[in-house]
Amino acid sequence: MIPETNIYDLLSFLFFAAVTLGSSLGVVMVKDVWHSALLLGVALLSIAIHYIILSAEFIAAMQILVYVGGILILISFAIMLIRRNSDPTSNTSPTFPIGPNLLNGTTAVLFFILCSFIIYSTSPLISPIGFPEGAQITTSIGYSLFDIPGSSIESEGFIAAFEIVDIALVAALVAAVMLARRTPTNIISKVSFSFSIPNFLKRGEK
Amino acid sequence: MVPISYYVFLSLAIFSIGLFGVLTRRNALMFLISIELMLNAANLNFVAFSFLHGNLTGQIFTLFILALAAAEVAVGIGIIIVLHRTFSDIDVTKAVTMRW
Repeated sequence: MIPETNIYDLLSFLFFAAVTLGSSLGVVMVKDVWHSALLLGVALLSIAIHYIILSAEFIAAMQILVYVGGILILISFAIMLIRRNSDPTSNTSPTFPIGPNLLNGTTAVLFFILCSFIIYSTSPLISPIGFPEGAQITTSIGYSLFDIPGSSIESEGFIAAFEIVDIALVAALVAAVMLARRTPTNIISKVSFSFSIPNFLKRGEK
Repeated sequence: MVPISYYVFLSLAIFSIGLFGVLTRRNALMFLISIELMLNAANLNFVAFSFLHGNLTGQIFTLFILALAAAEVAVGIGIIIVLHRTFSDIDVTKAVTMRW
């Protein structure tokens, strides 16, 4: 069945879809990495607006907090760290030659055309069920995350996945610190040196 | 409400743009940014289908993907900083000492 679509819903969807697509295209097309990081922020914020339209307010808040507030700051931190150390003549700016990348770019465009043809020919225009009026969506997410009964919306329990994500986050952050630490062998040798030759032995040598 | 297939088209377009970025750019930071775009496309699909079925499972999956994306970016930026320290460049076509 064809759902009836409110004209304002359609207009708002089209406007924010245009913002999302335009800024995403800018992310991959702009030559400067810093500019594409800023455009990524615009794309992430407009995707958060799509989440609000789809009545996922908690996910939208988490998107803004985690992506715009965390990941984008990390990426801009890395851009500034790498730019400061490199001299301006080195080739850290992205190169975008047409010749060798023509096949790769065409592959991505063909992927889009193929998948859009598949979606267009298979997906029926069913109208969404949506969440019931006045449903406590954020509360139900909390109940379902910890597998506690009391959720007003149908869902599954995720307590095991929650704990696994917890461990994965800690492991990834420790791994990031270990990777980015500058010359860990020097620290270890300095510690062992101070343990191996105490001060009173040095005084005796003198 | 607009039909959900519009959102599927939108997320397919975002995913293809991210794929285009991964395939055509040579800067390692651009890889990371394009992968963020692709992850967001998957998230948008999850939230759209969660709204379609009136089921919260998709939204909770989106929360997990958000957490894992944060972990992935932390490790990725650590790798890029080590890459820059080793090769004094973040061009992915120049880090070829492990090839063959």
